[in-house]
Amino acid sequence: MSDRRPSIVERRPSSALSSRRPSIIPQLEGIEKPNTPNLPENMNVDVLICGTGLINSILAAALSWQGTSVLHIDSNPYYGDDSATLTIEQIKNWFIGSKFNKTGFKNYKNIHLYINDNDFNIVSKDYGIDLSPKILFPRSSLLDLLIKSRVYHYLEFQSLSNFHTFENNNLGKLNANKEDIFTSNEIDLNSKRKLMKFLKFISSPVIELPDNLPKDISIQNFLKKNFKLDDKLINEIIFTLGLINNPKIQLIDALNKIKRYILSFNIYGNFPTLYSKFGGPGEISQGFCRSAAVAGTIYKLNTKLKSYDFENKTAILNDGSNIKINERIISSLNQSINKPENCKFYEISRIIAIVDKSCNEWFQDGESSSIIIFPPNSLNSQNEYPVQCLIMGSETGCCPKGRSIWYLHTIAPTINDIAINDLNSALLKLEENYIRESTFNFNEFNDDDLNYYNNNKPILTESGSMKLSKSLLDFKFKFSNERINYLMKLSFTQLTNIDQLNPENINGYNKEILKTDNNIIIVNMPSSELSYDGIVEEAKKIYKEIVGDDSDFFNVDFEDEEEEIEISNELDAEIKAEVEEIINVDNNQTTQSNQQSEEFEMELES
Amino acid sequence: MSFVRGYSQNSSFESIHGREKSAKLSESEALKRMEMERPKVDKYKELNELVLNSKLNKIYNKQSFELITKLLEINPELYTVWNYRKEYLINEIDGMNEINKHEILENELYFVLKQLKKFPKSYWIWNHRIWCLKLDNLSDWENELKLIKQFLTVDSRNFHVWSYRRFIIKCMKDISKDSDIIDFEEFKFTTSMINKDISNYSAWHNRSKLIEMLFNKSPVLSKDDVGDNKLFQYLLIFNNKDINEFLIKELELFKTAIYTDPDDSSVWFYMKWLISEYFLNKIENDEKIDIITKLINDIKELNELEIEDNENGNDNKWCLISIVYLMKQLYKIDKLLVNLDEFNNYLTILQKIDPMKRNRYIELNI
Repeated sequence: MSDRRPSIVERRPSSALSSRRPSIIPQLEGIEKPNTPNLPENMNVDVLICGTGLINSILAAALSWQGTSVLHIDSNPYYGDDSATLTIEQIKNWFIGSKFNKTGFKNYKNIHLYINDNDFNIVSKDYGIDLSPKILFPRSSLLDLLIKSRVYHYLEFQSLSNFHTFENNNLGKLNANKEDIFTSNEIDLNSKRKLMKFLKFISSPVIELPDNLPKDISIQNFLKKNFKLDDKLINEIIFTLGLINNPKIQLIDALNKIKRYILSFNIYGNFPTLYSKFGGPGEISQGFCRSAAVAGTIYKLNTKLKSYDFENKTAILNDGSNIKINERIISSLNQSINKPENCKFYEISRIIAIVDKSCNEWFQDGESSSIIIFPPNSLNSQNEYPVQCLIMGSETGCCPKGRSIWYLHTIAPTINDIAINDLNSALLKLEENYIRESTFNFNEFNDDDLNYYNNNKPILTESGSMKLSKSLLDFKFKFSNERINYLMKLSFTQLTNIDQLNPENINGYNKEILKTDNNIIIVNMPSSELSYDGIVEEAKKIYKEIVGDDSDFFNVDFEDEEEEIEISNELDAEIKAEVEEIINVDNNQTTQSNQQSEEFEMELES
Repeated sequence: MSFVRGYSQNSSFESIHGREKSAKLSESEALKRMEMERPKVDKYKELNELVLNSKLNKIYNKQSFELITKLLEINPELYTVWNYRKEYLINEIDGMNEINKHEILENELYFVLKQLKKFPKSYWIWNHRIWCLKLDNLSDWENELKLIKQFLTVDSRNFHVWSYRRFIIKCMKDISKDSDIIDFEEFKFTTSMINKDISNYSAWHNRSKLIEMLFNKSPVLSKDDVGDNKLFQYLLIFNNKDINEFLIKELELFKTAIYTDPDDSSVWFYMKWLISEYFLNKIENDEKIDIITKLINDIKELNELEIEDNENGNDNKWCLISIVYLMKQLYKIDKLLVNLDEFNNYLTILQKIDPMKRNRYIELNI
């Protein structure tokens, strides 16, 4: 409990959102409340869940709202397990634990941690570092569940619009909606037409493939032959818009991934994705745990399963308590006492870097994060797989002003250092691009390249940014005194039991349920999928295994019926308005809703 | 049935200009909800009768005002009740000083705003807002613009909001020395709205209105004042009243728009306005012919691409309709400029690909 970030209960609410917060946010053991000291003697529960990762936490909430009694423990002193959001101190402890004295299953390897505490007075709690960062599509099962379960009350969301693709040594911004396509000077007229044709095709309710399509045609060839798109656009569509990390993905799966981006536009505003402020899956896990706590789940951190007698249905925890398990034990793999047989593992390699730059240049006005994709063969390392990169700025609530967190990952194999070479190569390109972009001299540009808004600093037009990218080719570090300094750099390989290249696991999770020989259900480990897709389905799958049916998954009446109907009707509009408010606040426009500002003005006059 | 939100037996109500409306309810769900709402309906009928009676008896007291409010909150389309509300307000502010009057009308605007949030497309609520602002000599126009901006973020194509915007701008211009600057700012704003969504009929319409006004009178500003280079080019054209240059520039924008979405009718309609007598009468014959001929070639080129892409090898309807329109305009200038065989061929194709409007195309014959 010594080092942790302020929780939703302790944070000062962002003004625009304060109104929808419930008056009482349920407190959690080990956060606002002290950790549960002792569990009752001869405790008897239906389900014991080990590990407070996202899927486990959704399960805890779903099961306890359904009426199942749940005990939820975690061997760590924090919530989130392998999808936790950690401070720098917690990262240090995680590093030591994962590298040296960890017992049980090791799900991380090749871990290297560098912290530059001498040059930077790092305040550990200022940082929230996600072990497996994720972004949220507005049209997705997790967002629906957040609304249905009311867990969104415990969270704050921000929009993420900027998706860049690294091509020819340049970070091109993705043109993926009608406005961008219409106004772009970079796309020629005919490409505009073809791109729009493709967008129309992909946004139809049911994707209908032409009859005469060759069998097993790749997504690349399909886009080339049927829509006559060029390679640059094809790369952008597949890897950036689709966030696909397997270049050999099957056609229909690829189209569905691209479709989620397109359909997510204009649901809550003119942006394709959201992320949860103050931390990703870690923050959302905590939200579901709060919901579970309201429904009666008992929490205890710093506690793990020591042994489980399946025959007598008794579990012994490391605090000595003896628990009678009526139904089942669910566990994440790294907190389980043994692992399932015949379980194969696959690798995700990650680099997490904290740098001494704001990276505002990469964000859209009023936003604080962006996605950068390095498609296959775009790096000096001749990368076979794309490198996906998420940049989080200070307004995400995850780092102080003037700094940012860079998350990079790839599913390239670790043999012969392929993965780490790809990641380092991408990291270097990020550095070069950032320095070039933030230090170029405006005198190099003429009037056509620049726009001035309200006498503020000049902004590059598209011809300007094209010139910039050309100059990047000749750019050498030695010409610049600027450097990017790393406050922290963490690289590791995370194991997952999900084969990313298997078309069956298209949403990042697999269909079968893993069990150990003593019948503990093992929850899948975080996949390389950058979105939250597949997580709710994974939770439902295990829910069904325990309850027998998933029709009552979070089927809870939170209010009386009439109110419920009205709320469900208004909820979408409400969130939409709120997201708009957030954007307005960020744009320094009217910070209050009209209603509020009118009220305010009336007060002033009276 | 269509009173229940999300359910309608007439499917044509489910989408407007190709945009899907909200989720549908099944018939049984709709019936269930109607049953739930029955007590509300009874209450409403009772209230309605009460209000209409007190209107007949010309009762203007607080109690009747509260009943009016209650009734309009449920149904904003009752214009008789809105008029009753106006009578009440006139009665109340009669003889008051400006400040007290302003206070009462501010409260009224607050009520109107609450209603607009629920019913952003009701003629009567917008009408009432305009009525209040006209009555009040201390109205805050800037605040109204902010409000409009918010309404347009929710629905950028709501033509009620757009015409309300024109009303506010007109009021602002009436009290301003720099009415041409206001017009140019509006041009900027409208351009940005079109960029956001080229299918925005209302924005294109507003653009055409503003262009007329700016050709009449435009402000002289420096490049730094304008900021955006493209917009500055437009301003120079307005300053010089150079219609020919304007058409060339505007048709480039049109070309980009039809390449972005060849099936978007709003853009095609805008072109029709550009190549109408309004502008053509102001330029030389040579210029007219050059502009129209180039335009026809551009559209033909697009149509070729469309034929190539269409699975059935059909022409693009909008391309042909526009070519036919443009050829007719050429014909008016000089009959020899038009190849009539070609023209008739287009009409024949149109009859085939758009059989519902067959007679309309026959009618277009020269």
